[in-house]
Amino acid sequence: MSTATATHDEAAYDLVPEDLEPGVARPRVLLVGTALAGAAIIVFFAGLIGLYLRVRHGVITGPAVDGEAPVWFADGQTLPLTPGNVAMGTMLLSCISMQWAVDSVKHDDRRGAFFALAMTVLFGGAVINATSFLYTQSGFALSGGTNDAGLLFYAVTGSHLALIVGALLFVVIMTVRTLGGEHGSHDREGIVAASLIWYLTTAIMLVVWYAVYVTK
Amino acid sequence: MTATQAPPTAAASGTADSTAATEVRPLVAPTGLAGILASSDHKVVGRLYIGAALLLGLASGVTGILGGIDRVDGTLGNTLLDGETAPQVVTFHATSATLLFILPALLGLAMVVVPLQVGARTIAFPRAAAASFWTFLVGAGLTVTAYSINGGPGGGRSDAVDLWAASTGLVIVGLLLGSVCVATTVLALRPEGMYLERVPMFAWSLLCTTVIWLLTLPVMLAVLVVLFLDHRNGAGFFPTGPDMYDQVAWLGRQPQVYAAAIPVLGLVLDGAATASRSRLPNRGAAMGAIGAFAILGIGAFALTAISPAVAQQPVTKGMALLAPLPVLVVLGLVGLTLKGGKPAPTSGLVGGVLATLILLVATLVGAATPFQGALELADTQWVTAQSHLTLVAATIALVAGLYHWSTKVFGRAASEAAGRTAPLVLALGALVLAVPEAISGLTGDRAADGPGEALAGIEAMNGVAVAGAGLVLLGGVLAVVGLVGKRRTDEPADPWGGSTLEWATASPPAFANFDGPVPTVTSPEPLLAPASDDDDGEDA
Repeated sequence: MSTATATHDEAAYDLVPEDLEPGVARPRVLLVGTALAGAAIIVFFAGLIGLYLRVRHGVITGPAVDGEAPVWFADGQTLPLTPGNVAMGTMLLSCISMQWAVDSVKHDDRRGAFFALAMTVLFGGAVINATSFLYTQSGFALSGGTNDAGLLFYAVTGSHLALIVGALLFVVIMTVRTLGGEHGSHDREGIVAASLIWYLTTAIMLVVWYAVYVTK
Repeated sequence: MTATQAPPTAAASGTADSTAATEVRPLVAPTGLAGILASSDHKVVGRLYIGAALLLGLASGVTGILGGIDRVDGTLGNTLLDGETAPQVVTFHATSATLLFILPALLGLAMVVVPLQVGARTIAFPRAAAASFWTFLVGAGLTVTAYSINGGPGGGRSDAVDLWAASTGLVIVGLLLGSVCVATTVLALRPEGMYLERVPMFAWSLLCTTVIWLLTLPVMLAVLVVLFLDHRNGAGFFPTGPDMYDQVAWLGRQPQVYAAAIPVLGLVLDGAATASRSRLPNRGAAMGAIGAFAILGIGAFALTAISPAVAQQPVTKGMALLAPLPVLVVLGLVGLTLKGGKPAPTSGLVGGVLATLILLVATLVGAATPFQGALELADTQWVTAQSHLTLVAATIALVAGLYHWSTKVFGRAASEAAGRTAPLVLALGALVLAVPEAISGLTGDRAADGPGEALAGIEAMNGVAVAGAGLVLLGGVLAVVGLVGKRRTDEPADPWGGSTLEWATASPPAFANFDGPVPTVTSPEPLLAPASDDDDGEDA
């Protein structure tokens, strides 16, 4: 039987890829983990958006209130489409810059990768800014009591904002690592994982944009 | 190089010096408190998970008994506890049994054992695994704090209720993070030759479990986000008061409660194969049964508090009816495995079989609900009995797992006598607890956390159920005593003659689990000699 050998943390973790025989593909640990986390994120938003749609459907198909057809948004509540469209368009643009970053890393173009990742971060910040502006225009007051529409609107879009912030952090970490030379044509796993989360964030925003902003 | 006949240490010694693995400068690992608090070693993190979960499980059990005693007369808050405290005690027991005890305890066991079983040198994302534990611990601590200041669902202190919702969300985030680590370890850190179909059954069951958690617990998180915003801002979307608990109760009820019991099936299969020192027949059927049971444990769609009609849908009833089948398949395979060898009544085998039998009873109780009409039995003690049986089955499996892998988890062999007795006491307690509850449910007695008035003559049934709960708690305490009561001696690394990779390393395992690279795996039982020419390993 083997005997216990104490080794340092960092050293032991570095053993994982080196253990493989030459020619054996490196296990895509980060990509697999990112995919699993992405699945959980999808389920989370499916639950939130599903609840939003079910409650909205229940309200607008419900009985008349004081002889008038039921409405989802109360008086004073509105969702101007322009900030939502701008945010959506910016998010789609950020996907192009993200893919540019992945491609640059593939070709060991560190300068291009840094520029593309910086643009992606900038676009992400712009989306947060646009959504914050939308909040000031929408007329939903969360504190002091609100209706179901306001509550669920903030739950869905606020959670998505939190996702954007998390995805941005992931991208920033990968930017730093790329600058440090950790990612290149020899190993693109980190940057591809960051792009996977970014595309997922965009896809969820597309659903939120249509289900919440467009169809209202 | 293969690992069919020899443990990796011996087999790998010839090449170990030539690899980068052995060029790493050996350093002394942190010891003492720093070695615990700052460690991202999966074994340390797993032990922390197990320890914290056992403590919280004790609290959950005690509150369950307190709630049971208070409810002996069929009403809540009229005897032992006051009307405000009683619902808090009952809902704490109900939520903590799953979120603060069973799920984290199984995750902890998985964090220790699964990387060893699949031949990985570490868990995937070790720092994330450590972060998951500390996130869980902070969340659990805040949850207990929220309850202690009258802040559970429907509690009287508004800020504390908000704290409960937020901290429960934090617990779920921690568990999800840990689930990603365990699932990724099985999927991406297997050595060469260990295809997914060769993964040990316990590791396979934990892969299924963690994936199901990843696909269902986020829904609970979403509900908690809305609940938090709703309650904090007084929007009135969800009902307030004790009815608030209905939004999260689905986690401990059929079908979602089965997601906590999936490892039962993996453990009993591994336990049977190890105890009989034989190969598992028809691994495909075993993996299929575990996978099917996992799918039947997807309950995130069954939010009956939001959509009551879900309980009447054919898919919900079908899932309830099908749940016993995978358990029966696994029991059949266990029988075939034992028949093919000379089984010894090890704690892993005894506990595993008892857990599976109790789980079978639980699924049969659950399968009866469609015949009665789900809404008729909903919120009755029948549902409580079904949950109790499932969760105690998972607890027995946890105990069996801790004893089976005690040399790996704790570095010492646990008392076999306690390892065989504790599951028996737990199983007996489960039956004494659940049978009266089921009978009460048939007579229309409402669940402990549900509304309603007391039925005449229900005291005796409730009294017996409390005695059963006491037996379950006693079994749990006995199990813990048996685990810690034996002094460390020169333990064999493998007390059972196991056939999977975790038995090929030292006990307790070294920091990087294996001394050298794990050689190519050529069979599902790498440490067993090939039995015949048509053995699975021969074609690799």
